This record gives sequence, structure tokens and C-alpha cells, in this order.
Amino acid sequence: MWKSVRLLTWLSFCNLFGINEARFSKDPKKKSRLITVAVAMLILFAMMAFYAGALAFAFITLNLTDLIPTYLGVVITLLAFIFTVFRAGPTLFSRKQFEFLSVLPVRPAAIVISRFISVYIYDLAISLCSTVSVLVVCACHLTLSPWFYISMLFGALFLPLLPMTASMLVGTGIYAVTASMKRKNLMQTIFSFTFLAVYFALINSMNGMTDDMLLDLAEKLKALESVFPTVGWFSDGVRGNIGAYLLFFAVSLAVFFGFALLVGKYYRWLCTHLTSNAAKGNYVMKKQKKSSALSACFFRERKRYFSSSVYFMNTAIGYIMTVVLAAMLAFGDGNVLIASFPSQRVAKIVPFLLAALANMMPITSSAISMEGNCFWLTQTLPVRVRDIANAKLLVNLMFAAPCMLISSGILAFAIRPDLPDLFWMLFVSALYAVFGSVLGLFINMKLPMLHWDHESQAVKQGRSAFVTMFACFVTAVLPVVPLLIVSGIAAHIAMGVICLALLLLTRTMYRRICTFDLKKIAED
Amino acid sequence: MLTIQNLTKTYKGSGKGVKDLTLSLSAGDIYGFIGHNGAGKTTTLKCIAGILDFPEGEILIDGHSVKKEELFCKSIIAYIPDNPDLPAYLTGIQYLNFISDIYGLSDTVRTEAIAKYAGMFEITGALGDLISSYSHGMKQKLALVSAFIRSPRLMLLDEPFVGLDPKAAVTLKSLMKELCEKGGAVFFSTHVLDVAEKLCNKVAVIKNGALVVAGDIGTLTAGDSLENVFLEILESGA
Repeated sequence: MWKSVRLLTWLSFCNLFGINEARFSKDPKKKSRLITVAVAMLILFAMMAFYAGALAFAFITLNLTDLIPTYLGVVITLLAFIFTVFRAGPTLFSRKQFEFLSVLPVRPAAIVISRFISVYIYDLAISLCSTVSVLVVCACHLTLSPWFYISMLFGALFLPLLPMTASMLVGTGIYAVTASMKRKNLMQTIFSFTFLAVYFALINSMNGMTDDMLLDLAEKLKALESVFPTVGWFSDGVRGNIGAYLLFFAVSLAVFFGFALLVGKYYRWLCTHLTSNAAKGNYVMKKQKKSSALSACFFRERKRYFSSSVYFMNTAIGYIMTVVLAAMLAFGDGNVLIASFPSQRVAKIVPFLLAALANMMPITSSAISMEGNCFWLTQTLPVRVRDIANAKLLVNLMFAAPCMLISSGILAFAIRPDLPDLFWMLFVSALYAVFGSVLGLFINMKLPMLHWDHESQAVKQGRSAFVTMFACFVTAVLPVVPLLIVSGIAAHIAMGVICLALLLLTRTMYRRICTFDLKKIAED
Repeated sequence: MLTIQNLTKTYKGSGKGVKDLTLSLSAGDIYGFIGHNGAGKTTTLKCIAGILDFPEGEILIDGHSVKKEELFCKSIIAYIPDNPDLPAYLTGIQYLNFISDIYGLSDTVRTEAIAKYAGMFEITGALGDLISSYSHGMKQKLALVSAFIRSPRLMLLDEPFVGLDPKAAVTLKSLMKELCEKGGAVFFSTHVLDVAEKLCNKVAVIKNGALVVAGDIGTLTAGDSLENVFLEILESGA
């Protein structure tokens, strides 16, 4: 079986970020595509390492060094869980892969384990990146035993296993429960969001926040050791308890392989049930109604968006989180933070920070890629590119505009800005909703990914997703710099200049989109 | 109806594609496009359909350039690829309404056309189901229905008979003839030489991207079978 696992894992890696295509293709574009993805990923990992290292430094400064292993364990556990739960279903139960692999003389468990390993690689990269960063900070500021470094680094290889398996279990459970439902994609989305909301609410409700946020975090981390036992064993192991350390390995590996073998046993049954579609075959022809070409394109886009739980969950989460963050800042513990700054300054900065979160992954950043094999249809329709683009932008704005305006409205309620600042808050939010949508589509038209096996590749693994994420972040955070320096009337002038620059940039990109030659995408 | 002049389209890296292809179709023609795998048939069809750009040559549909009057050309042709990937998230009827909206068909025209062609291909009952539940053949039938309801002047079909059941194949052949009788034309690629011989009035043979022979089927075969003529061409090194 292990030979099959090795071969199937190799097959998955060949497909990862188009490595194999870039390796053997004579087209230089494919190689440059891989380089862009690699650079974008390096930037993302560098950002992640920076955050992990910064927090470790804070623990050292507060003399809470003992909690660093727990902190690392909790961070990796949470990240592995969140990153896996959204792609567990599509990765494990991809229809194309099932049809291709199920005819091969390999055991289903081998297929499942190879799928698990391909998911594990992402989580491992996150784990190692955070761990190395934390260890570098520790080495620079503390004198610790070699065991600390060895056990932390070695443990980082196994830390993602349990949370990953747990999220796979949840993902599979959601897939299994919704499989027989009429609107299974919508139900999968609702279940996944509900699960995550409950999960975070439970973690958050374990301890009330105090004024000293970092000390409160330390208390929470201690409490989390009981929620995530492997984190507790790992932390104890790093502190010198060899028995706990061995228990950590044994449980992580046993759960991982146990679950893989269990899913493997029912893999064929699960795939058949999850990927089959109910067909009634009883349609009776009735009178049909006409609508405009734009309405038709919008209808198709809307259907496309809500038909894919992967597409919906990964792109909607930024907008939903923006509203949640705004509510937390306005009505939760964050209002202390807001109150500690002058309202004029906060009112001008807040919409940019909201934009940075909301435009994390605009819907349009994968709107072209999601057309996949059906792109021939778009190309052969007698419709202007403007109409096709407008339909995609409208679907994005359907989410972005209300979420960003509601977020700004909620914060305006807490900040109570004067009339000009209220105008800026709402205007900048609306402007970023449009800007993010146009930027996402512009980048996706330049960097499309039409050939994919499962939707999560188009949504999350394309160059477009990385570049858009980075571009949106930079364009939302950069304008904050002048606003931190100037105040009074100069701040209003700065806001005006920033908005004008954004408007011009949006207009230029939109015009380029409308005159884009779709044939260029076909040859990509 | 369709004029291809010195069409050249090669792919980066492989160098494969179409080289200096010239041929023309008149109204009423059912034109078969024959060639081995990788000969350039699909590339040619994609260039006509507006999917691929081409650096050299010109393609005119009803006298209109596909480069300069792209939207007009697209509005009078119907293209069906060899493996029609249709939006799996729509139901059959939603897809047909989407196409009808794009081509501006009125309520009455679309209702009648969908009823007629869906009935002929026997997929009316499945129109309320998601396309993701369709078999390959049903998807192909739905794609054909979506092509016929818009009454195209020129039909471009890539291997249209692969995956169709015998009855649907007969229906398709009769609809192709009907379209040509009304002044339209059909240009299709095929590997099934028997079908080409019986159905087409003209054929073109393409080899390694270059046109080898083209013209009236009776003149080309001169009493021999199309299969023999094709094999002779392949082996001759022409």
C-alpha cells in the first residue's frame, strides 16, 4: 500500500501550483507563472513569520517565556484547523479524482492517505514557518537548552496532524450530512460557517477579556491546553516531560492514520453519495421569459457563485469578518481601543483597515478562473467584454458594498464622527468595495487559471489570488501612512487626494478590463 | 458563407497548429474537415469561432471579418466543441434561457424553439435537472439544442457524432441538412469517414497543419471510398 501512497502523493505534487507543467512545458509563460506564485507565497509566509515572531517577542518582554510552546501550539492548531476545514471536502472527494483513481488497482486507504498528505504539506509549511520564526526570536533574546529548539522544531512536524484530522472529520461530516439535501452546496456553506462561528464563540467564551490584553491572552492559552490536549502534551514535552512528548506523537499519528483508514474504508461509498446528483427527469415545457444580456450574464455569475461552497466560503469570509470586526470594535471589548484615539483620526483610518480585511480575497479575483473548462462558452458569446465584466463585478459588489457600508455604519455609531468624517468613512468604504472588485477582476484577467482539478485550486492556489491579496493589502494600508502624520484640514485634503487617486486607478483598470481580448486568456 | 484566407496559427513551444490554410464554404454546404489527431482541425474551428487569435490570414463569415466584426460574426455562428463543458451549476432550461437571452430571442420564439429541438433530441424531461447530472451524450444534445434554437447561419461542430446515440445522430444529420436547405452552412470536423462521405457535399483533408486536398466529394473520391482516398493521402507524404 505504501508504494501506492508514494505514487499517488507524487501525482498530487505534480499538480501542485503547476510545478510539473512548468517543468516540462516549452512555454516560458508557465515557468514565470510558477515563479510569481512562489514569490507571492514567500511574501505571505514572511508576513506570517513576522506576526509569529513579534508575538513571541512580546511574551519574552513580559517574562512569559514558559508559555511560548503553548502559544506556538495553539497558533498552529488554529491555523491548520481553519485552513483545512474549507478544503477538506473538495480535496478528499473530488469527483474527477475519484473517477480517475477508483479504476486503478490501489486501495482506497492509499488514495485517502495520499490526499491527507497533500493537505498536510500546506499545514506543515505554515507550522515550520511560524516555528522557525519563534525559534529565531528566542535564540536572539534567550539562552535556552538545545532540547527546547530540537523538541520545538521536531514537534512542529506533527503539530498540524490532529487539528488537520479534526477539520477533515468536520469537513467530511458536513459533506456527508448535506449530500442528500436538495441544495447541498448552499447547505455545506451554511454548515461550515455555522461551525466556525460556534467554534470561535466557544473559544472566546472561555475567558473574559481584561484590560491587559496580552496577560489575558496568556491566561487563555493556559486554558486552551485543556481544549487541545496535544498542545498541552507538546508544551509539557518541550519543558522536559519526555512522557508527554511521546504521548503527543503517538496520539497525533494514531488519530491521523486511524481516520485515514476509516475514511478509506468508506471512501467509495462516500464519493458515490457525495458526487452524485439527483435527476427527476420530469420537466414539462412551459412558456419562457426574456431578459437582457446583462441580466442573463449576472444570473449565470450568481448561480456560479452560490453553487460552489469553496468559492463562496473563501471569498465571502473577508466581507463577513469585516462586519464581525466592526461589531466587535463598536460594541465589544474593542471599544476601549477606539476610545483611546481621537475620533477624527480613527474615523479617517478605520475605513482603510476595514478595506484591508474585506478585500482579502475579492470574488472577482477568481471569477475568470472559476469558468474553467466552460470558458469556451464565454468566448463564443456575442456579448461585449464590458457586459461579462459588469456581471462579475455586480456579483462582487452584491457582497462587498453592503458589508463595507454596514461595517462603516456600525463603526460610525461607535466613533460618532462629525459630518465630514462620516462622509469620508462611508465614501472610502464604498470606493474600496468598487476598487477591490475591479482590481480582483483586472488581476484575474491577467493571471487566469482555467485548468484545474478542483475548485479550491482556482480560488486559492492561482497567482491571481496571491497577487490580489497582496495588492489589496498594500493599497489599503499605504494611504494610512499620510493620515497618521497629518491632521485637521490637511487630513481632509489627504483624504481627497487618496480618493481621487483610487478613483483614477479604478477607472483605468475598468477601461482596460472592458477592452480586454478574451482570446489572450484562451492561450494562457 | 465562410472564407478562410492564408490562416496561420502556431502554438508556442510545440510549433503545431495551422499553416497557410485557405478554403471557402458556400451557403448550403455541409463541409467535412478531416485529418489525423493533432492535424489542426480544432485549432481552425477555434480560430473561426473567435476563441483563438491568429497572427496571419483572414477569416470572413458572410463577408464580415472575425477580427474586425467579432460580435457580429459570433451572433450568426454556433460553435460546439468536441467535449462540450457546459455550466454544471445550471439546469438545462436555465442554460437554454441564458443562451436565448444572449441571442435576444423573444419569449415566443424561444419557447417554440426549445420545445421543438429538445423534443427532437428527447431531452425535454431532463431540462429541469442540473447539467451536472447529465451524461456526456445528454450534454452534447443540450449543446446542440442551444445551437439550433438561435438559428445560426453557420454551424461549427467539432466531432459532433462522438457520444451521440444512433437516433440523435440521425436527428442531427437531418437538422444539418435542414439548416443548409434554408441557406445556412455546416463546417464540422470528424474522424468518421463514412459519415463524412454520406453527409457532406464537400470535404477538406488537413495534415500537419496544412491543407492537402479540398473540394467536392464526388470529384475527390472519383468513385473510390473516402477512406481509401484519406489513407492514400496520409501515406503519400503530401
